Amino acid sequence: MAKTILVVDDSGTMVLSLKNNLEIAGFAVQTASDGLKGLERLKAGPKPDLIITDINMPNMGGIEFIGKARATPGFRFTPILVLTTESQQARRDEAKKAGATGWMVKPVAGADLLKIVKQVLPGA
Amino acid sequence: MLTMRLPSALAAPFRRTSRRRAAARALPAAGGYEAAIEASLDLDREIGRKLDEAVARTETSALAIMQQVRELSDRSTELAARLQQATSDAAEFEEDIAANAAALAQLARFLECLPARLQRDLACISAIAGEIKGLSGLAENVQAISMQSHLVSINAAIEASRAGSAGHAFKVVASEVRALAANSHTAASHIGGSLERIRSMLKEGLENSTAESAEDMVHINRVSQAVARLQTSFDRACGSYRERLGEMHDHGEALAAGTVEVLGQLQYQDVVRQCVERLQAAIAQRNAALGQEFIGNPVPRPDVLARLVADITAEYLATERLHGDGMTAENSAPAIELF
Repeated sequence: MAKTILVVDDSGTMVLSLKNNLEIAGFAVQTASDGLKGLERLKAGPKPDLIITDINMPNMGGIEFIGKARATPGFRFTPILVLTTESQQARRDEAKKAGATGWMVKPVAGADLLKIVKQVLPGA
Repeated sequence: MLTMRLPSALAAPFRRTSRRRAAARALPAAGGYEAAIEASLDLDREIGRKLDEAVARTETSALAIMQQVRELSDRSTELAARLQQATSDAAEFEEDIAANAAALAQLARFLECLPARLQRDLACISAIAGEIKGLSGLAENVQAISMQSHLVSINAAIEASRAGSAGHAFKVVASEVRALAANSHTAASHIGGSLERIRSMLKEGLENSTAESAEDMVHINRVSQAVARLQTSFDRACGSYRERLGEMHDHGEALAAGTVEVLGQLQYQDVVRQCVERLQAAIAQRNAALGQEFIGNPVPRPDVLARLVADITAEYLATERLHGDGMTAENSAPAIELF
């Protein structure tokens, strides 16, 4: 059965790019346009095996979303990757503290993205 | 359909400057700066609108490109599935042909041995003909013996006649011996005739077989060569087919890898959008400072404004340094990092 990945980003271009890329690679993809909708997705199910989130989003940003996702039952150990244009160490530390698994700076090459996804998703 | 969001940080200063501009029209001119500032703000607004349009267009294009790429990818996936089916069919076909090739090889071996068999059969028939010729000689001997018996019986009959009544019984015996000699001669003649006919038939058959076998040899050689050519053609066709399938598989993989890379490259649209948004926010901040200092202030302070704009520039540049893909960001942290 295909692994499911939740993509949280306010950019339609990013969402479609990641969705197509991951679906072609055989993953099932859910999407949300901000952190708030991302949390709703987590609560509504089905449970994703991996979450990829942006940082700067309206309504609820990525750091807050990661923290709240970690506090949601069943998502303590789900890998969460950040995909953002930001690259500074301080923001990475914030994300790490909130519970992020890794950090990727946009744009990330399709092959590199799949490599990282397979690295954090054993058996993918 | 997605719509572009104008950042609130960008839109608010424009609204503020518009209100202040209306208020400033009632105030005395501040050293002639007001008209210049208004013109500059108008230009900035036009630039902002154009940048918004450009971002919207690139987003529309990026989404359309992604749609097309996805369709191409789906077609490629379908092609790969058909290719997989073709490979499976080809394997089955190859097994059938391999079995047929084995039968052809067996046929070729049989054809190779056939001339020797024909030669052996002909030699056997020739030996039988020789034996029959020997039997014909024996029949002639029997005829000679019966002829001699006939002569002996005649002489015996003559001698019996001379003996008178005493030789009467012997005369009967001589007569029977003569009849026996005549029968033996007739039988030997029949046997000799039959053997001669058989020998003629064998001779004729042997001559025909020898002539036909020479002709058959030519056909057999042709068939053997055709079978060998067929096997070679089949091996070549199988190799070529496998090669083409391999090439198509490689092309399919290259196409899939290219599709993934194109999708990755389209992320630049979002990177550029955010870059434009930060630029517009900085311009809005500068416009707000200009409006506050020149339009809302009866006594403009150029030195204060210069410091404000310098601070805005420094903040903008500092923000820019925190963003980027490693090529533009002045940041040593890796683009991809697992915690």
